[in-house]
Amino acid sequence: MGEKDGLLLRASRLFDLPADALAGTPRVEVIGDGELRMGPHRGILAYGPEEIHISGGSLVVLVRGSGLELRAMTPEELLITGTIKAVEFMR
Amino acid sequence: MKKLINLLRGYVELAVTGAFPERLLNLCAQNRLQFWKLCWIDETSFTFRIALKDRKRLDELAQRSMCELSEQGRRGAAAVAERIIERRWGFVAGVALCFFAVSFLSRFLLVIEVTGNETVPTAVILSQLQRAGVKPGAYGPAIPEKEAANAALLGLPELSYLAINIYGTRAEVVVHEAEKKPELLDAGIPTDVVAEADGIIEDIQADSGRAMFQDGDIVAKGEVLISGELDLKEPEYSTADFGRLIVHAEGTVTARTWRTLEETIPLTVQAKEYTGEERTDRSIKILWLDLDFFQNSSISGRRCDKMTKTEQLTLFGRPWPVWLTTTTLRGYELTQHEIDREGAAAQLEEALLSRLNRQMEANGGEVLRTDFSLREENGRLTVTLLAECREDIGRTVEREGEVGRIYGDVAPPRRVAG
Repeated sequence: MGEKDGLLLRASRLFDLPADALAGTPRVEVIGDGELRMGPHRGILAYGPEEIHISGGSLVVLVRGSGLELRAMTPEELLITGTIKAVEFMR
Repeated sequence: MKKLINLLRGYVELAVTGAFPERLLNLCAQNRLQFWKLCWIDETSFTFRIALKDRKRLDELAQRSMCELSEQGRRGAAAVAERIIERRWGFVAGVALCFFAVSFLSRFLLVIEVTGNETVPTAVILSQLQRAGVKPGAYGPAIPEKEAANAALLGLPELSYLAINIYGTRAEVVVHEAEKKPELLDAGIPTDVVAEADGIIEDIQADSGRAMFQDGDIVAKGEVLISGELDLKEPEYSTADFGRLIVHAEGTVTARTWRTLEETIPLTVQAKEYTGEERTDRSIKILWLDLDFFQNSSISGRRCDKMTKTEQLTLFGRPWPVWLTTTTLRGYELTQHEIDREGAAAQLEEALLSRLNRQMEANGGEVLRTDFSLREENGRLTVTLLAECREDIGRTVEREGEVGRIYGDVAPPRRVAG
Protein backbone atom coordinates (compact mmCIF):
# COMPACT_ATOMS: atom_id res chain seq x y z
CA MET A 1 0.00 0.00 0.00
CA GLY A 2 1.33 3.37 -1.02
CA GLU A 3 1.64 6.28 1.37
CA LYS A 4 -1.08 8.19 -0.45
CA ASP A 5 -3.48 5.25 -0.39
CA GLY A 6 -2.93 4.76 3.30
CA LEU A 7 -3.60 8.41 3.95
CA LEU A 8 -6.86 8.33 2.00
CA LEU A 9 -7.92 5.16 3.81
CA ARG A 10 -7.26 6.75 7.19
CA ALA A 11 -9.11 9.89 6.11
CA SER A 12 -12.13 7.89 5.04
CA ARG A 13 -12.19 6.14 8.41
CA LEU A 14 -11.76 9.45 10.25
CA PHE A 15 -14.64 11.12 8.38
CA ASP A 16 -16.83 8.00 8.21
CA LEU A 17 -16.77 8.07 4.43
CA PRO A 18 -16.96 4.94 2.22
CA ALA A 19 -13.41 3.78 1.64
CA ASP A 20 -14.13 2.43 -1.87
CA ALA A 21 -15.28 5.85 -3.03
CA LEU A 22 -12.54 7.88 -1.44
CA ALA A 23 -9.54 5.59 -1.45
CA GLY A 24 -10.38 3.30 -4.39
CA THR A 25 -10.31 0.29 -2.10
CA PRO A 26 -11.93 -2.71 -3.80
CA ARG A 27 -15.51 -3.52 -2.85
CA VAL A 28 -16.30 -7.22 -2.92
CA GLU A 29 -19.94 -8.27 -3.11
CA VAL A 30 -20.80 -11.96 -2.72
CA ILE A 31 -24.33 -13.09 -3.51
CA GLY A 32 -24.93 -16.46 -1.92
CA ASP A 33 -22.15 -18.77 -2.91
CA GLY A 34 -22.66 -18.49 -6.67
CA GLU A 35 -21.79 -14.93 -7.65
CA LEU A 36 -19.05 -12.50 -6.76
CA ARG A 37 -18.76 -8.93 -7.96
CA MET A 38 -15.70 -6.88 -7.39
CA GLY A 39 -14.77 -3.32 -8.27
CA PRO A 40 -12.68 -1.42 -8.76
CA HIS A 41 -10.02 -3.91 -9.73
CA ARG A 42 -6.71 -3.83 -11.49
CA GLY A 43 -6.97 -6.99 -13.50
CA ILE A 44 -6.69 -10.74 -13.21
CA LEU A 45 -3.44 -12.14 -11.90
CA ALA A 46 -4.21 -15.81 -12.23
CA TYR A 47 -7.18 -17.71 -13.47
CA GLY A 48 -8.47 -21.23 -13.07
CA PRO A 49 -11.72 -23.07 -12.41
CA GLU A 50 -10.82 -23.53 -8.77
CA GLU A 51 -8.92 -20.36 -7.99
CA ILE A 52 -8.92 -16.83 -9.36
CA HIS A 53 -6.51 -14.13 -8.25
CA ILE A 54 -7.67 -10.59 -8.72
CA SER A 55 -5.56 -7.54 -8.19
CA GLY A 56 -7.33 -4.93 -6.10
CA GLY A 57 -4.48 -2.46 -6.04
CA SER A 58 -3.47 -2.42 -2.37
CA LEU A 59 -4.52 -6.04 -1.90
CA VAL A 60 -5.01 -9.23 -3.85
CA VAL A 61 -8.34 -11.02 -3.65
CA LEU A 62 -8.28 -14.79 -3.88
CA VAL A 63 -11.50 -16.49 -4.86
CA ARG A 64 -11.59 -20.24 -4.21
CA GLY A 65 -14.26 -22.63 -5.27
CA SER A 66 -15.21 -24.96 -8.07
CA GLY A 67 -16.35 -24.34 -11.63
CA LEU A 68 -15.37 -20.72 -11.31
CA GLU A 69 -15.91 -18.62 -14.39
CA LEU A 70 -15.19 -15.04 -15.25
CA ARG A 71 -18.54 -14.02 -16.67
CA ALA A 72 -17.93 -10.35 -17.31
CA MET A 73 -15.08 -7.96 -16.96
CA THR A 74 -14.94 -4.22 -17.50
CA PRO A 75 -12.19 -1.78 -16.42
CA GLU A 76 -14.25 -0.98 -13.31
CA GLU A 77 -15.87 -4.22 -12.32
CA LEU A 78 -15.77 -7.96 -12.79
CA LEU A 79 -18.21 -10.77 -12.20
CA ILE A 80 -17.28 -14.31 -11.21
CA THR A 81 -19.78 -17.18 -11.08
CA GLY A 82 -19.46 -20.74 -9.92
CA THR A 83 -19.47 -22.32 -6.48
CA ILE A 84 -17.57 -19.97 -4.21
CA LYS A 85 -16.06 -21.61 -1.16
CA ALA A 86 -13.78 -18.87 0.14
CA VAL A 87 -12.62 -15.35 -0.43
CA GLU A 88 -9.22 -14.39 0.90
CA PHE A 89 -7.41 -11.08 1.01
CA MET A 90 -3.67 -10.86 0.72
CA ARG A 91 -1.47 -7.84 1.11
CA MET B 1 -31.59 -13.28 -24.08
CA LYS B 2 -27.91 -12.41 -24.02
CA LYS B 3 -27.19 -15.69 -25.84
CA LEU B 4 -29.62 -14.73 -28.54
CA ILE B 5 -28.08 -11.28 -28.91
CA ASN B 6 -24.61 -12.81 -29.12
CA LEU B 7 -25.85 -15.24 -31.78
CA LEU B 8 -27.32 -12.42 -33.83
CA ARG B 9 -24.25 -10.24 -33.52
CA GLY B 10 -21.94 -13.15 -34.32
CA TYR B 11 -18.90 -14.19 -32.33
CA VAL B 12 -15.45 -15.78 -32.64
CA GLU B 13 -14.16 -18.56 -30.45
CA LEU B 14 -10.44 -18.12 -29.82
CA ALA B 15 -7.66 -20.01 -28.14
CA VAL B 16 -5.07 -17.79 -26.42
CA THR B 17 -1.57 -18.99 -25.64
CA GLY B 18 1.08 -16.96 -23.89
CA ALA B 19 3.35 -16.68 -20.88
CA PHE B 20 0.82 -14.51 -19.07
CA PRO B 21 -2.46 -14.98 -20.92
CA GLU B 22 -4.44 -13.26 -18.13
CA ARG B 23 -2.87 -10.02 -19.30
CA LEU B 24 -4.94 -10.25 -22.47
CA LEU B 25 -8.10 -10.50 -20.35
CA ASN B 26 -7.09 -7.40 -18.42
CA LEU B 27 -6.41 -5.53 -21.64
CA CYS B 28 -9.76 -6.62 -23.01
CA ALA B 29 -11.45 -5.28 -19.88
CA GLN B 30 -9.55 -2.02 -20.07
CA ASN B 31 -10.51 -1.57 -23.73
CA ARG B 32 -14.07 -2.63 -23.04
CA LEU B 33 -13.97 -5.66 -25.31
CA GLN B 34 -16.67 -7.93 -24.09
CA PHE B 35 -15.75 -11.60 -23.76
CA TRP B 36 -17.50 -14.66 -22.35
CA LYS B 37 -17.34 -18.45 -22.08
CA LEU B 38 -13.82 -18.18 -20.65
CA CYS B 39 -12.36 -21.63 -20.24
CA TRP B 40 -8.92 -22.09 -18.71
CA ILE B 41 -6.99 -24.96 -20.29
CA ASP B 42 -3.71 -24.70 -18.40
CA GLU B 43 -1.54 -21.99 -16.92
CA THR B 44 -0.51 -20.66 -20.30
CA SER B 45 -3.62 -21.00 -22.40
CA PHE B 46 -7.35 -20.54 -22.34
CA THR B 47 -10.25 -20.22 -24.77
CA PHE B 48 -12.91 -17.56 -24.85
CA ARG B 49 -15.46 -15.95 -27.09
CA ILE B 50 -15.52 -12.43 -28.35
CA ALA B 51 -17.93 -10.41 -30.52
CA LEU B 52 -17.14 -10.49 -34.22
CA LYS B 53 -16.81 -6.73 -34.43
CA ASP B 54 -14.02 -6.74 -31.79
CA ARG B 55 -11.93 -9.33 -33.57
CA LYS B 56 -9.50 -6.90 -35.24
CA ARG B 57 -8.86 -4.92 -32.07
CA LEU B 58 -8.12 -8.15 -30.25
CA ASP B 59 -5.17 -8.84 -32.56
CA GLU B 60 -3.60 -5.60 -31.45
CA LEU B 61 -4.15 -6.41 -27.77
CA ALA B 62 -2.75 -9.92 -28.23
CA GLN B 63 0.43 -8.41 -29.63
CA ARG B 64 0.71 -6.10 -26.65
CA SER B 65 0.21 -8.94 -24.18
CA MET B 66 2.59 -11.24 -26.12
CA CYS B 67 -0.11 -13.81 -26.66
CA GLU B 68 -0.88 -15.91 -29.65
CA LEU B 69 -4.42 -16.20 -30.98
CA SER B 70 -5.87 -19.05 -32.93
CA GLU B 71 -9.44 -19.03 -34.19
CA GLN B 72 -11.52 -22.06 -33.24
CA GLY B 73 -14.55 -20.98 -35.24
CA ARG B 74 -17.00 -18.26 -36.08
CA ARG B 75 -20.68 -18.54 -35.28
CA GLY B 76 -23.84 -16.47 -35.31
CA ALA B 77 -25.89 -14.63 -37.91
CA ALA B 78 -23.26 -11.98 -38.69
CA ALA B 79 -20.62 -14.68 -39.19
CA VAL B 80 -22.89 -16.60 -41.54
CA ALA B 81 -23.60 -13.40 -43.49
CA GLU B 82 -19.87 -12.69 -43.66
CA ARG B 83 -19.23 -16.21 -44.98
CA ILE B 84 -21.98 -15.86 -47.58
CA ILE B 85 -20.59 -12.56 -48.80
CA GLU B 86 -17.09 -14.00 -49.02
CA ARG B 87 -17.89 -17.31 -50.65
CA ARG B 88 -21.25 -16.93 -52.40
CA TRP B 89 -21.02 -13.57 -54.03
CA GLY B 90 -23.34 -14.79 -56.79
CA PHE B 91 -26.08 -15.41 -54.27
CA VAL B 92 -25.47 -12.02 -52.69
CA ALA B 93 -25.56 -10.37 -56.10
CA GLY B 94 -28.84 -12.19 -56.80
CA VAL B 95 -30.35 -10.95 -53.56
CA ALA B 96 -29.16 -7.43 -54.34
CA LEU B 97 -30.64 -7.72 -57.83
CA CYS B 98 -33.95 -8.94 -56.40
CA PHE B 99 -33.99 -6.02 -54.01
CA PHE B 100 -33.28 -3.68 -56.91
CA ALA B 101 -35.99 -5.28 -59.00
CA VAL B 102 -38.54 -5.05 -56.21
CA SER B 103 -37.69 -1.50 -55.23
CA PHE B 104 -37.03 0.04 -58.64
CA LEU B 105 -38.46 -2.10 -61.43
CA SER B 106 -41.77 -2.44 -59.56
CA ARG B 107 -42.32 1.24 -60.31
CA PHE B 108 -42.76 0.54 -64.03
CA LEU B 109 -46.24 -0.15 -65.31
CA LEU B 110 -46.84 -3.68 -66.45
CA VAL B 111 -50.60 -3.96 -66.53
CA ILE B 112 -53.31 -1.45 -67.37
CA GLU B 113 -56.80 -2.51 -66.35
CA VAL B 114 -59.82 -0.67 -67.68
CA THR B 115 -63.12 -0.97 -65.81
CA GLY B 116 -66.54 0.56 -66.26
CA ASN B 117 -66.75 0.56 -70.09
CA GLU B 118 -69.60 -1.22 -71.86
CA THR B 119 -69.86 0.18 -75.35
CA VAL B 120 -66.48 1.88 -75.77
CA PRO B 121 -63.90 -0.85 -76.54
CA THR B 122 -61.04 -1.26 -74.08
CA ALA B 123 -58.56 -1.09 -76.96
CA VAL B 124 -59.79 2.40 -77.88
CA ILE B 125 -59.33 3.61 -74.30
CA LEU B 126 -55.88 1.99 -74.07
CA SER B 127 -54.85 3.59 -77.34
CA GLN B 128 -55.89 7.03 -76.09
CA LEU B 129 -54.10 6.43 -72.79
CA GLN B 130 -50.97 5.45 -74.69
CA ARG B 131 -51.02 8.85 -76.40
CA ALA B 132 -51.23 10.42 -72.93
CA GLY B 133 -48.16 8.43 -71.84
CA VAL B 134 -49.91 5.70 -69.85
CA LYS B 135 -48.66 2.44 -71.35
CA PRO B 136 -46.93 -0.75 -70.24
CA GLY B 137 -43.30 0.03 -69.49
CA ALA B 138 -43.92 3.65 -68.47
CA TYR B 139 -42.29 4.82 -65.23
CA GLY B 140 -45.21 5.06 -62.79
CA PRO B 141 -44.09 7.96 -60.55
CA ALA B 142 -43.43 10.09 -63.66
CA ILE B 143 -47.02 9.83 -64.86
CA PRO B 144 -49.12 12.86 -63.89
CA GLU B 145 -52.30 10.91 -63.23
CA LYS B 146 -54.79 13.79 -63.35
CA GLU B 147 -53.27 15.45 -66.40
CA ALA B 148 -53.05 12.16 -68.27
CA ALA B 149 -56.67 11.35 -67.39
CA ASN B 150 -57.83 14.76 -68.62
CA ALA B 151 -55.81 14.43 -71.84
CA ALA B 152 -57.28 10.99 -72.52
CA LEU B 153 -60.79 12.15 -71.69
CA LEU B 154 -60.55 14.98 -74.24
CA GLY B 155 -59.92 12.43 -76.96
CA LEU B 156 -62.80 10.21 -75.88
CA PRO B 157 -66.07 12.14 -76.10
CA GLU B 158 -67.97 8.90 -75.42
CA LEU B 159 -66.72 8.99 -71.83
CA SER B 160 -67.88 11.33 -69.10
CA TYR B 161 -65.31 10.34 -66.46
CA LEU B 162 -61.86 8.78 -66.47
CA ALA B 163 -59.56 8.28 -63.51
CA ILE B 164 -56.14 6.66 -63.38
CA ASN B 165 -54.96 5.00 -60.17
CA ILE B 166 -51.45 3.58 -60.14
CA TYR B 167 -50.70 0.74 -57.72
CA GLY B 168 -47.08 -0.32 -58.25
CA THR B 169 -46.93 -2.13 -61.56
CA ARG B 170 -50.67 -1.96 -62.10
CA ALA B 171 -52.65 1.00 -63.38
CA GLU B 172 -56.37 0.88 -62.79
CA VAL B 173 -58.37 3.02 -65.18
CA VAL B 174 -61.94 3.67 -64.08
CA VAL B 175 -64.25 5.08 -66.72
CA HIS B 176 -67.88 6.13 -66.86
CA GLU B 177 -69.55 6.26 -70.23
CA ALA B 178 -71.42 9.40 -71.26
CA GLU B 179 -75.10 9.20 -72.02
CA LYS B 180 -75.88 9.72 -75.67
CA LYS B 181 -77.26 13.13 -76.48
CA PRO B 182 -80.82 12.89 -77.77
CA GLU B 183 -81.19 13.88 -81.38
CA LEU B 184 -82.64 17.33 -81.39
CA LEU B 185 -85.41 18.06 -83.80
CA ASP B 186 -84.49 21.04 -85.87
CA ALA B 187 -87.87 22.54 -86.57
CA GLY B 188 -86.18 25.31 -88.55
CA ILE B 189 -85.43 23.02 -91.51
CA PRO B 190 -88.33 22.55 -93.96
CA THR B 191 -88.98 18.88 -94.69
CA ASP B 192 -91.42 16.48 -96.34
CA VAL B 193 -92.16 12.89 -95.41
CA VAL B 194 -91.79 10.67 -98.49
CA ALA B 195 -92.48 6.99 -99.11
CA GLU B 196 -89.51 4.72 -98.64
CA ALA B 197 -91.20 1.81 -100.41
CA ASP B 198 -94.29 1.02 -102.46
CA GLY B 199 -97.31 0.02 -100.40
CA ILE B 200 -100.92 0.41 -99.32
CA ILE B 201 -101.37 2.95 -96.55
CA GLU B 202 -103.07 1.53 -93.47
CA ASP B 203 -102.67 4.55 -91.23
CA ILE B 204 -101.29 8.01 -91.85
CA GLN B 205 -100.71 10.38 -88.92
CA ALA B 206 -99.30 13.84 -89.65
CA ASP B 207 -97.87 15.46 -86.51
CA SER B 208 -96.99 18.53 -88.51
CA GLY B 209 -97.56 19.18 -92.20
CA ARG B 210 -100.34 18.05 -94.50
CA ALA B 211 -101.18 14.40 -95.20
CA MET B 212 -101.30 13.93 -98.96
CA PHE B 213 -102.93 10.50 -98.88
CA GLN B 214 -105.68 8.70 -97.01
CA ASP B 215 -105.86 5.23 -95.47
CA GLY B 216 -106.19 2.61 -98.19
CA ASP B 217 -104.37 4.66 -100.84
CA ILE B 218 -101.64 3.03 -102.88
CA VAL B 219 -98.37 4.90 -102.87
CA ALA B 220 -95.19 4.49 -104.86
CA LYS B 221 -91.68 4.78 -103.55
CA GLY B 222 -90.55 8.44 -103.44
CA GLU B 223 -94.02 10.02 -103.29
CA VAL B 224 -94.57 12.78 -100.75
CA LEU B 225 -96.80 11.40 -98.04
CA ILE B 226 -96.84 14.32 -95.63
CA SER B 227 -96.06 17.66 -97.19
CA GLY B 228 -94.29 20.41 -95.32
CA GLU B 229 -96.21 22.96 -97.32
CA LEU B 230 -99.57 24.11 -95.83
CA ASP B 231 -101.96 26.21 -97.80
CA LEU B 232 -103.44 28.78 -95.45
CA LYS B 233 -107.18 28.95 -96.00
CA GLU B 234 -108.67 32.36 -96.54
CA PRO B 235 -112.16 33.20 -95.26
CA GLU B 236 -114.99 32.69 -97.69
CA TYR B 237 -115.41 35.52 -100.21
CA SER B 238 -112.00 36.94 -99.23
CA THR B 239 -109.90 38.26 -102.07
CA ALA B 240 -106.65 38.35 -100.05
CA ASP B 241 -104.13 35.51 -100.44
CA PHE B 242 -102.91 34.30 -97.08
CA GLY B 243 -100.13 32.37 -98.83
CA ARG B 244 -98.57 29.09 -97.73
CA LEU B 245 -96.79 28.02 -94.60
CA ILE B 246 -93.63 25.97 -94.97
CA VAL B 247 -93.06 23.69 -91.95
CA HIS B 248 -90.91 20.83 -90.78
CA ALA B 249 -93.23 17.93 -91.71
CA GLU B 250 -93.41 14.98 -89.37
CA GLY B 251 -95.58 11.96 -88.87
CA THR B 252 -95.92 8.21 -89.21
CA VAL B 253 -97.21 6.36 -92.23
CA THR B 254 -97.96 2.72 -91.57
CA ALA B 255 -98.37 0.75 -94.76
CA ARG B 256 -98.54 -2.77 -96.03
CA THR B 257 -95.54 -3.42 -98.24
CA TRP B 258 -94.23 -6.25 -100.38
CA ARG B 259 -90.55 -6.72 -100.36
CA THR B 260 -88.58 -8.88 -102.74
CA LEU B 261 -85.15 -10.01 -101.63
CA GLU B 262 -82.81 -12.28 -103.50
CA GLU B 263 -79.71 -14.32 -102.64
CA THR B 264 -77.68 -16.41 -105.04
CA ILE B 265 -74.92 -19.01 -104.86
CA PRO B 266 -72.92 -20.88 -107.54
CA LEU B 267 -73.84 -24.54 -107.95
CA THR B 268 -70.21 -25.59 -107.96
CA VAL B 269 -67.75 -24.18 -105.47
CA GLN B 270 -64.09 -24.53 -104.77
CA ALA B 271 -63.53 -26.38 -101.52
CA LYS B 272 -60.40 -26.73 -99.43
CA GLU B 273 -59.03 -30.20 -99.02
CA TYR B 274 -56.42 -30.30 -96.27
CA THR B 275 -53.27 -32.17 -97.25
CA GLY B 276 -52.40 -33.03 -93.65
CA GLU B 277 -49.32 -30.87 -93.71
CA GLU B 278 -49.35 -28.80 -90.52
CA ARG B 279 -46.86 -26.59 -88.79
CA THR B 280 -47.09 -24.65 -85.53
CA ASP B 281 -44.91 -21.61 -84.76
CA ARG B 282 -44.81 -19.67 -81.54
CA SER B 283 -43.71 -16.17 -80.65
CA ILE B 284 -43.55 -14.34 -77.35
CA LYS B 285 -44.12 -10.67 -76.75
CA ILE B 286 -42.88 -9.21 -73.48
CA LEU B 287 -43.93 -5.61 -73.00
CA TRP B 288 -42.83 -4.11 -76.32
CA LEU B 289 -40.20 -6.76 -77.07
CA ASP B 290 -41.34 -9.19 -79.78
CA LEU B 291 -39.50 -12.49 -79.86
CA ASP B 292 -40.57 -14.06 -83.14
CA PHE B 293 -38.57 -17.20 -83.75
CA PHE B 294 -40.07 -18.16 -87.13
CA GLN B 295 -40.64 -14.77 -88.82
CA ASN B 296 -43.21 -14.96 -91.67
CA SER B 297 -42.77 -18.66 -92.20
CA SER B 298 -45.18 -20.61 -94.37
CA ILE B 299 -45.55 -23.98 -96.03
CA SER B 300 -43.44 -23.45 -99.12
CA GLY B 301 -45.06 -23.62 -102.56
CA ARG B 302 -48.45 -24.65 -101.20
CA ARG B 303 -51.67 -22.94 -100.30
CA CYS B 304 -52.11 -22.81 -96.58
CA ASP B 305 -54.46 -21.56 -93.90
CA LYS B 306 -52.84 -19.42 -91.26
CA MET B 307 -54.52 -19.37 -87.87
CA THR B 308 -53.07 -17.04 -85.26
CA LYS B 309 -54.07 -17.27 -81.63
CA THR B 310 -52.75 -14.79 -79.08
CA GLU B 311 -53.06 -15.48 -75.37
CA GLN B 312 -52.09 -13.15 -72.54
CA LEU B 313 -50.34 -14.59 -69.52
CA THR B 314 -52.50 -14.55 -66.40
CA LEU B 315 -51.00 -15.16 -62.99
CA PHE B 316 -52.88 -15.00 -59.68
CA GLY B 317 -55.96 -13.81 -61.55
CA ARG B 318 -54.16 -10.81 -63.05
CA PRO B 319 -53.06 -10.31 -66.64
CA TRP B 320 -49.33 -9.72 -67.21
CA PRO B 321 -47.71 -8.01 -70.21
CA VAL B 322 -46.60 -11.27 -71.75
CA TRP B 323 -48.36 -12.56 -74.85
CA LEU B 324 -47.88 -15.94 -76.46
CA THR B 325 -48.83 -16.10 -80.12
CA THR B 326 -49.37 -19.50 -81.69
CA THR B 327 -49.54 -19.59 -85.48
CA THR B 328 -50.79 -22.78 -87.09
CA LEU B 329 -50.27 -23.31 -90.80
CA ARG B 330 -52.36 -25.97 -92.53
CA GLY B 331 -51.70 -26.81 -96.14
CA TYR B 332 -54.63 -27.44 -98.51
CA GLU B 333 -55.53 -27.99 -102.15
CA LEU B 334 -58.53 -26.48 -103.91
CA THR B 335 -61.01 -28.89 -105.50
CA GLN B 336 -64.27 -28.30 -107.32
CA HIS B 337 -67.37 -29.56 -105.53
CA GLU B 338 -71.02 -29.47 -106.35
CA ILE B 339 -73.02 -27.93 -103.54
CA ASP B 340 -75.79 -29.65 -101.64
CA ARG B 341 -78.83 -27.88 -103.13
CA GLU B 342 -81.16 -28.40 -100.19
CA GLY B 343 -78.61 -27.28 -97.66
CA ALA B 344 -77.63 -24.26 -99.76
CA ALA B 345 -81.29 -23.28 -100.24
CA ALA B 346 -81.88 -23.50 -96.48
CA GLN B 347 -78.83 -21.33 -95.85
CA LEU B 348 -79.94 -18.73 -98.38
CA GLU B 349 -83.47 -18.68 -96.94
CA GLU B 350 -82.02 -18.11 -93.52
CA ALA B 351 -79.83 -15.29 -94.84
CA LEU B 352 -82.80 -13.68 -96.60
CA LEU B 353 -84.96 -13.82 -93.47
CA SER B 354 -82.13 -12.32 -91.49
CA ARG B 355 -81.81 -9.46 -93.99
CA LEU B 356 -85.57 -8.87 -93.90
CA ASN B 357 -85.67 -8.84 -90.12
CA ARG B 358 -82.86 -6.29 -90.02
CA GLN B 359 -84.82 -4.05 -92.38
CA MET B 360 -87.98 -4.44 -90.30
CA GLU B 361 -86.09 -3.65 -87.10
CA ALA B 362 -84.80 -0.45 -88.65
CA ASN B 363 -88.32 0.65 -89.69
CA GLY B 364 -90.15 -0.71 -86.64
CA GLY B 365 -92.18 -3.04 -88.82
CA GLU B 366 -93.34 -6.63 -88.78
CA VAL B 367 -93.35 -9.49 -91.27
CA LEU B 368 -96.85 -10.72 -92.08
CA ARG B 369 -96.13 -13.43 -94.63
CA THR B 370 -93.15 -14.88 -96.44
CA ASP B 371 -92.86 -16.90 -99.59
CA PHE B 372 -89.68 -18.42 -101.03
CA SER B 373 -89.00 -19.48 -104.60
CA LEU B 374 -85.95 -21.30 -106.02
CA ARG B 375 -84.52 -21.27 -109.47
CA GLU B 376 -81.39 -22.53 -111.17
CA GLU B 377 -79.87 -20.62 -114.05
CA ASN B 378 -76.42 -20.05 -115.46
CA GLY B 379 -74.89 -22.47 -112.97
CA ARG B 380 -76.24 -20.56 -109.97
CA LEU B 381 -78.94 -21.29 -107.43
CA THR B 382 -81.11 -18.26 -106.65
CA VAL B 383 -83.60 -18.01 -103.80
CA THR B 384 -86.14 -15.20 -103.89
CA LEU B 385 -88.08 -14.08 -100.85
CA LEU B 386 -91.38 -12.30 -101.31
CA ALA B 387 -92.48 -10.87 -97.98
CA GLU B 388 -95.60 -9.03 -96.98
CA CYS B 389 -94.85 -6.59 -94.21
CA ARG B 390 -96.37 -3.84 -92.14
CA GLU B 391 -93.98 -0.98 -91.57
CA ASP B 392 -93.52 2.74 -91.31
CA ILE B 393 -92.58 3.81 -94.81
CA GLY B 394 -92.27 7.52 -94.05
CA ARG B 395 -88.82 9.01 -94.49
CA THR B 396 -88.12 12.63 -93.68
CA VAL B 397 -86.28 14.51 -96.43
CA GLU B 398 -85.27 18.14 -96.54
CA ARG B 399 -86.93 20.45 -99.02
CA GLU B 400 -85.75 23.69 -100.50
CA GLY B 401 -86.54 27.03 -98.92
CA GLU B 402 -87.03 28.20 -95.37
CA VAL B 403 -89.61 27.63 -92.73
CA GLY B 404 -92.23 30.36 -92.71
CA ARG B 405 -94.99 31.90 -94.77
CA ILE B 406 -94.65 32.34 -98.55
CA TYR B 407 -97.06 33.71 -101.10
CA GLY B 408 -97.93 32.29 -104.50
CA ASP B 409 -99.58 29.21 -105.99
CA VAL B 410 -99.81 25.99 -104.07
CA ALA B 411 -97.35 23.58 -105.61
CA PRO B 412 -98.67 20.11 -106.50
CA PRO B 413 -97.35 17.15 -104.47
CA ARG B 414 -93.92 16.17 -105.75
CA ARG B 415 -92.36 12.84 -106.32
CA VAL B 416 -88.92 12.48 -104.81
CA ALA B 417 -86.44 10.15 -106.43
CA GLY B 418 -85.78 7.35 -103.96
